[in-house]
Formats: sequence, structure tokens, C-alpha cells
Amino acid sequence: MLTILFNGEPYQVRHAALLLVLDELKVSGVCAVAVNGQFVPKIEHENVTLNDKDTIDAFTPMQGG
Amino acid sequence: MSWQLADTTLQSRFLIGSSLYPSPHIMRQSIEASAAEVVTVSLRRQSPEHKGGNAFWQHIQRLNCHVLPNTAGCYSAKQAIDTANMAREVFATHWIKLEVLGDEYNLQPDPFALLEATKELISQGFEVFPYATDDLVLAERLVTAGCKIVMPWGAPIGTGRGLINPYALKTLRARLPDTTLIVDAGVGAPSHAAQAMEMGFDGVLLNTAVAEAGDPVLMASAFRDAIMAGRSGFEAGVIQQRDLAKPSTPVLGTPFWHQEP
Repeated sequence: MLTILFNGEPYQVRHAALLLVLDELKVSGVCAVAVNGQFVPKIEHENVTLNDKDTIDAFTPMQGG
Repeated sequence: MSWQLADTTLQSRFLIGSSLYPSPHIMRQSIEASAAEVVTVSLRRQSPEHKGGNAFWQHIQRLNCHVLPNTAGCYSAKQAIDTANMAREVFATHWIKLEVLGDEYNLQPDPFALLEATKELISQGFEVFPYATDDLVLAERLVTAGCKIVMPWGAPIGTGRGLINPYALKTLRARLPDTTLIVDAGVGAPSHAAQAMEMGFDGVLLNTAVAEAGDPVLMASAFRDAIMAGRSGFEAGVIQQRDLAKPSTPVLGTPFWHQEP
């Protein structure tokens, strides 16, 4: 088990592969993902392995001026 | 009459924001009433489980407008570059309204970080719409960096003060005749938008003045009409101001024209 910080909240996840962790966290639909503050393009999700205490942030469309 | 914004042909010269409306329904009605074809959007950290972002995105998609994502809230070139890349993936557009702020009090752009981020994003293939001050040298540097569009502020974001430095804006228009110039931010009343268009600006981007109006839908149509009127006035050629009065009715031949007053 890894402890990761997802959108600022701690979560216990079973996997280390980013793609599987996103599935565990039910991250789907239109969003962009950053790991440890660094944007990870969707095409690279399958190549990223997480470590304990890593952070994941998901960004979704929002109103803007 | 149609015009060219970057690689896109548009009819409307009104670019509108999607924020601050009382409800999604009023946002949609307002954008429709504005006849705008470009809508600004942003990205925020939000759990996809909440589905709020996807619901908003579905509202925007139904409008069939071009989306212009922004980098609002960024205070460094790196933040803005990362946000732009995320926006490109999420919104599937290479357009980016580049905001790099330098001051929290008046949300004034940081010209140095803005230029740095602009250079990098252009090298990555973005069409950069830089939100800038009305500083001529900054605008020239942005154009030299490859910007086809520059968006000087009318006044600080959300103030509604209108065009606080008409001299600087007129100078930008005169010195950058081949650059698409869009007044962005600070516009409060339809007359402000008309004034910008009469100066020869190519478009106006605003949000708060519509979204926080008493009747946003009616205000959206008021801005639509003002922007069209201002553009027509510019194309028609506004007369030069004079110091002395000049009668519009011919004096010769009027009754008693030859008599002393």
C-alpha cells in the first residue's frame, strides 16, 4: 500500500502504476493530471510509477474570465 | 462583416467569459445573447468524482463556441506554462489566454514573466493571447516573440472602470497596426466597449460586466450592440474634434442672415 496525496487529501492506494491508481481513485472523464506538481500528459500515464507520499492533482474544466 | 482571429474566421468581435454568472442557465442564455463565438474557460483542481467540471464543460460544448482557456491565478512563467499544457490536453485547443500576474492587489500582469512564458509557449506551438498592460514596449516585445494577438487591459480585472488610459491604448493601436488588439479586462459599461472599438481595437473580451449585471442576459445583448456600433463607427471614420463651433445648417440664405444680430 502507498499513501498518496490526491487533491490535497491522503489516500491509501493498492497500486504504484499511475494508470491503475487513477482508476482506483475513479479519475476519469475530462481532466488533466499532475504528479508532484508536474503535468503528466495522458499519453505518458502508463509510464509513470508512483512512490509513497507522492502527490496527484486532477484538474477539470471550470468557469473562467 | 467577418474578421480573422489567429487561424479562425469570426463574425462577432465580442469575446466573453464564462465565470461569475448567477447560474449555468443564465450563463448559457447570456453567452447566446452576446452572439460571442469565443468563450474563456479555465482549469481548477477538483475531484472528478464531484463531476462539477464535466457538467460545466458539457454546458460550454453545447454552445458551439471556440474555447479560449486561460491561465488565471498563475504568478510565475512555470505555473502558466504547465497550466497551458494541461489546458491544451483538456480543451483540445492550442489557443491560450496567457495570464501571469505580478501583483495580488490589482492583478496586474508581470511583464517579464509574461514575455518569458510567451516565448516558451510559442515554441511549443501555442497560439498565445497574452493578457498585458497597455505598455507599448511590452506589446512590441510580445509581437516580436511571435504573438499575432495582444490583449491590453482597459483597467484592472473586475473593476469596471473602463479605459483608464486612452492615450496608451490609442498609441498601441497606432504603433501596432498589423497586430490583432483586443481590450481585455476592466470594461464596465457598453459605452466603454464602444469606445475601444471606435479606437480601432479588433475586439473586446469581458466577463464581470455581463455576469454581475442586474440582468446579465440583457447586458450581454447591450454589449453585443455596443461592440458592433463601435466597430461600424471606426470603419465609417469618426470626425476630428474641433475647438470652435461650426454650424451644421447652412447659414447662407437663412431668413435675416444679412442683418446684424
